[in-house]
Amino acid sequence: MNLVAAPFRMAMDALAAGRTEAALPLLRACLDSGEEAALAQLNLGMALGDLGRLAEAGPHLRAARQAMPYMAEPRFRLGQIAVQQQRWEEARAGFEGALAVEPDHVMSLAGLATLAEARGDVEEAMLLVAQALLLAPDDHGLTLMRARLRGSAAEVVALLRAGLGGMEAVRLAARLVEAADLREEAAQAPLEWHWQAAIGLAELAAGATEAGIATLRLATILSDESPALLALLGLHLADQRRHGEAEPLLAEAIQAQPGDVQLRSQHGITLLRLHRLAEARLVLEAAVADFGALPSLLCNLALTLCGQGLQEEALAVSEQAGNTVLALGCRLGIQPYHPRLGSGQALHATASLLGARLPQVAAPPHAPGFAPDRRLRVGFLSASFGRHPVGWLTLAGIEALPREAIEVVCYSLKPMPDALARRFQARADLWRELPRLEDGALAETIRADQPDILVDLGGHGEGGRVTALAHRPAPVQVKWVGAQSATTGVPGLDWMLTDAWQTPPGSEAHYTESLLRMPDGYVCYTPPPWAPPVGVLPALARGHVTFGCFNNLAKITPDVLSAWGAILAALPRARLVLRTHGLGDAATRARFIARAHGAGLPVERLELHGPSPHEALLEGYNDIDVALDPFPYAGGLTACEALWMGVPLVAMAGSSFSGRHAVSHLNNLGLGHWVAEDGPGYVARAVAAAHEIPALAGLRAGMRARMAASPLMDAPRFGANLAAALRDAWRARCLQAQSGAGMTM
Amino acid sequence: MSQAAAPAGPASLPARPRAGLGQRLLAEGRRLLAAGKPAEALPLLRTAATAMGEPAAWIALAEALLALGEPQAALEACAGASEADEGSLPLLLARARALGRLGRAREALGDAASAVLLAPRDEAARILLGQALLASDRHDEAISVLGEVWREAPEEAGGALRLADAMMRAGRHDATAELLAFLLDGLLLPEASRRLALGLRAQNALLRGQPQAALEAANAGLAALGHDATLHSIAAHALIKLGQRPQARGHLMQAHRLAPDDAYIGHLAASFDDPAQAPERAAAAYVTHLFDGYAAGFEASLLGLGYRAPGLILRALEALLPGLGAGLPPGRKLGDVLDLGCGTGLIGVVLHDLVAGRLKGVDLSPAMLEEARLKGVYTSLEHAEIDVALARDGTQYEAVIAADVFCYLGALDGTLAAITARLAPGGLLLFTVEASDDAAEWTLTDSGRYRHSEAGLRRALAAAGLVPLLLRREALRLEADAALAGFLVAAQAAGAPP
Repeated sequence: MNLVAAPFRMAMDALAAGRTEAALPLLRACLDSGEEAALAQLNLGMALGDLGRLAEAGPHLRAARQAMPYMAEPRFRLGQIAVQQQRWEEARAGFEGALAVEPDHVMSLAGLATLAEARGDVEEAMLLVAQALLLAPDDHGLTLMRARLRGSAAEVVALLRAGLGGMEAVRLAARLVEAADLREEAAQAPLEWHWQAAIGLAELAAGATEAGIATLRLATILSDESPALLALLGLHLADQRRHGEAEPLLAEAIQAQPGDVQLRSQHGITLLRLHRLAEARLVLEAAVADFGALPSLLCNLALTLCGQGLQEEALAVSEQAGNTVLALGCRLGIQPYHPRLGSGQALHATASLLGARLPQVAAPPHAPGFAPDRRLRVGFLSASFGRHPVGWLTLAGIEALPREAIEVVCYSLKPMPDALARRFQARADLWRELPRLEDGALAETIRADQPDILVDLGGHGEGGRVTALAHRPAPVQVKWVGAQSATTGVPGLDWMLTDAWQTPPGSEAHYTESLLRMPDGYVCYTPPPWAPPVGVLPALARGHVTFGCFNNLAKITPDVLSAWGAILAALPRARLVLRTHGLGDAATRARFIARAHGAGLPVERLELHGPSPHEALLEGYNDIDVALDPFPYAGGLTACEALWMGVPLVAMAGSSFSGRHAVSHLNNLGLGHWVAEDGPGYVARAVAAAHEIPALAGLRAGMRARMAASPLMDAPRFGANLAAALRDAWRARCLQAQSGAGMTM
Repeated sequence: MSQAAAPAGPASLPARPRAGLGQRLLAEGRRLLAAGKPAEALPLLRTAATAMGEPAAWIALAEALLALGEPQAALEACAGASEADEGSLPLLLARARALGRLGRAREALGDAASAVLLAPRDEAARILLGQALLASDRHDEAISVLGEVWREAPEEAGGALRLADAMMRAGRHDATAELLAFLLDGLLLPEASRRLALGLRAQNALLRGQPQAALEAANAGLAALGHDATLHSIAAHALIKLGQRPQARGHLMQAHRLAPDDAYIGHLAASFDDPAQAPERAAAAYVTHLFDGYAAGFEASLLGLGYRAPGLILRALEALLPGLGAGLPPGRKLGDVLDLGCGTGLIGVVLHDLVAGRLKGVDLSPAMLEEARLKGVYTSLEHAEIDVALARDGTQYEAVIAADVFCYLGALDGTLAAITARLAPGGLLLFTVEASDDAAEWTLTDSGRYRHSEAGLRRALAAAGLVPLLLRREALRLEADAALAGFLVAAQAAGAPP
């Protein structure tokens, strides 16, 4: 007797054997033939859900619900998918619907408990779990949940000893069980991956990164490379910025766990960090298709599009992400690149939206010991104390702060093991490595040290924690380098450290912070010791000028391309060399060439290079006569590097903070006449430079000495000025506290 | 958000013991070891060795421990290797290394010799043997073994450097110097080897009793390669031998700053000012330190630019002559300017935009003048002593600059008078000098440079008929941890400016 149609049975066999993908065409055939249509709808929806194709799964599950209204499974599955898509109300409706038709549906009770737990309603969650456990007393998932809700280490250990509970039990053990007890268990069963994984997670949580990664790797091998462990190791390697090692692990883990949105999202970001932009985009677009328009996915996709130089598309995607703090922070990372909306005024509007969503905490009341002239404890908050633009632009200044007047505390959010990092550590009077904490807890931890002034070096950028400053960890708070592209909008940030070139009079309206202007430049540059010597002007031998731009593609807007097109049109022999990571990605490179061609650039006179090691990149300037700075997002460190390599740059004065870095650097070198105020001026300046080859040769020969003698590299001068600026900010706070004029600036 | 009852993660434990697990742990551990991540290889190799009883894992574990600087634990791991591995080449090599690091030279020599006996052509074995022979003070044999390795591949800098090290320790300083000269002149050395070679050359000179040559070698290395902890450290030793303790202090502090984790340098730096601790005493220990501690030192090397005089003088001019400017629209410009001791032309680069008249440079060094000429900013350059140049010049200058020049002069009266004669009415003299807080007007330091007191400067300026407009303490450049203190001075000649 064969009541079940053959394709359906084959599909069931395939599903039972774990060949989910193979079952799909069979189930679709059932839908076409109409045999077992309702069950085929349900199984197709479940299979697609298991494959992470959530958006496709929904319609089939809804059809199954329609066809079998008294069955709990379709409703439960719809609830489960809604959980993955973070649509909590829909999820609740799904689980409650399943329970309405089948009051003993254990999985739906568990689902509701999970939702209650996520809301923070532990009591409700406990009741639901207890109810579910009455129905299914041996269910390990429920036992584990109860252990989590109770915070019971003993229950977790019991589960793990029995080899039960999977990754969730491991995570819980890392949190609840004492490290010594974990080691004891591991010694008893040295080949059990659970204990090793828990130890690894506990080590990572305690900041023992190297040991934690090593232990997770051991656990991964012991688990026979189980996808859950590959995922865990991949995520933590990515967190350590070891993206090259993380990427294959994440890709493999996703094969087995396509429904894990965090994995998919991190895979995209890891590809982005590896400058594999086209792949990153595919991965993130697929994730958006499967999980819906989740803000985190849209933000990562927007960053990727921005990295490809698609400023319009990037901003549009980031706007879809809504107006949460996360989404607005991401938008502030993208908008400065936008040809029109990258203006100081437009950025101020976005930052203000963000600020309105942060806590408004008044400055802490006047503590005893407010004295205008006493030694100050100044904290610097950064995930980039090391080889990073933040390091190159702040190290010399922080080193040169007078010790007798300023005590330096470095709050490091991420360890960086390089020579620059060691110099930061050597200068810091107090070195703190902060674990990953929520904004409030982070602020609390910093406040415990009682810094007088806190300087943020991360902004809304990658690894930045500037929103924590809304909780007022210090009485005086200052924004300096580190995603310092515009106002932060963060309430409680009193000052923006700047200079008269970055923020000329009249810029005040674009900043929620007060402007703390340094007398020269707002940064002090440390050149890398491996910078090669400055070569002779290439145009002397070539007879024509070679322009160059080593900024990333995000900064290359259509307007920039038009300006470059006009320059090359006016100089028929001139060439333009671009060198940046994004151009190493074949698809991104092809897309860029098409864009350049469309903008009228003679592509045969372009020379495109992908990534190169820092020393080789610097050596690349020995092939360049004149650098062309992009706009509206100008070169910062890139401008400094060009100048250090003897190459002057044609720059455009923008209205945002990030639009004026080169203005500041050039003026501090006495080269203000290289700054143009508009597009035609920019083109004219570049063309004029190309006709002044002997003058260019002389300028190049003396450029490094000129820069070394300029305020941009005069560390003692900068250190004294920085100390004076911080002192001014402190005095203003003391005066305000004295006059009792309120606590906000 | 987690799912409670939904299956997640590996459902059940794999059965034990699992086939191939030990092999996989070992393979992955070896991969990480080869990738320079011994700390991450460690738990894999330890599990493979202890829990899986994987015989070959013990040796790999010993290698990881050696790489992590734990020779005692490495030796214990070697003891865990199976009978079958006893006498195998990898075990002999690992044990010889561990024993060598533990200072057990005789035992290390035994294992290294067995290794060479087993594999006479193995390079690692022969190098270990050479090092074990050296440690046992059997210098001639060491040189013979390492010399053979070098002769087989003379283009490999590593072999030559080891041989040079051996010859230096054997006291064959002339041969060492010759080999190093061959290396440094003849081969295109990678930077790491170049640092090592220059360090060895300086060290060899020091051991040879030629501190002046050692200092020159170290300085040449510093000039060519930028700051480097070991070269600074050797320079410090040479200067101590030369009786120039203040200069030695600077080098030592610089070395300490570049290699803060280096216990030896840290000790020397901390005890430097304590007369009970004579740094000379440590020179012999330094031989070992040089070679062993090198790798850590050179990576930390960083360029510490900090020569401020040109910037200080430029900004003093801008402050004293408001409206002076190079930008658009063009500001007021300077007339004729004389740059005394112009060196490579750093002042000229900074000032030439501001000069409408002539910009003349004077220096004693033809090489420096050639550098200055290449910058293309001076109207004329003269090879002469300052006083001679001043005497035969008839120009009336609007400004005379002397950046870091007066530190070579004690009494300034004659030079200041000669400068006054060359200044136009109301013309400016700007200079920097090292500061002294001594009662004397000037003092000669151990380095042969002069420092001047504020009172002395004021008296000398007045005697020359110059009115000080600015006399301010400034850091002249960064030296080690502290800045070199000096004065920035601007003074004006009598009469109304033109």
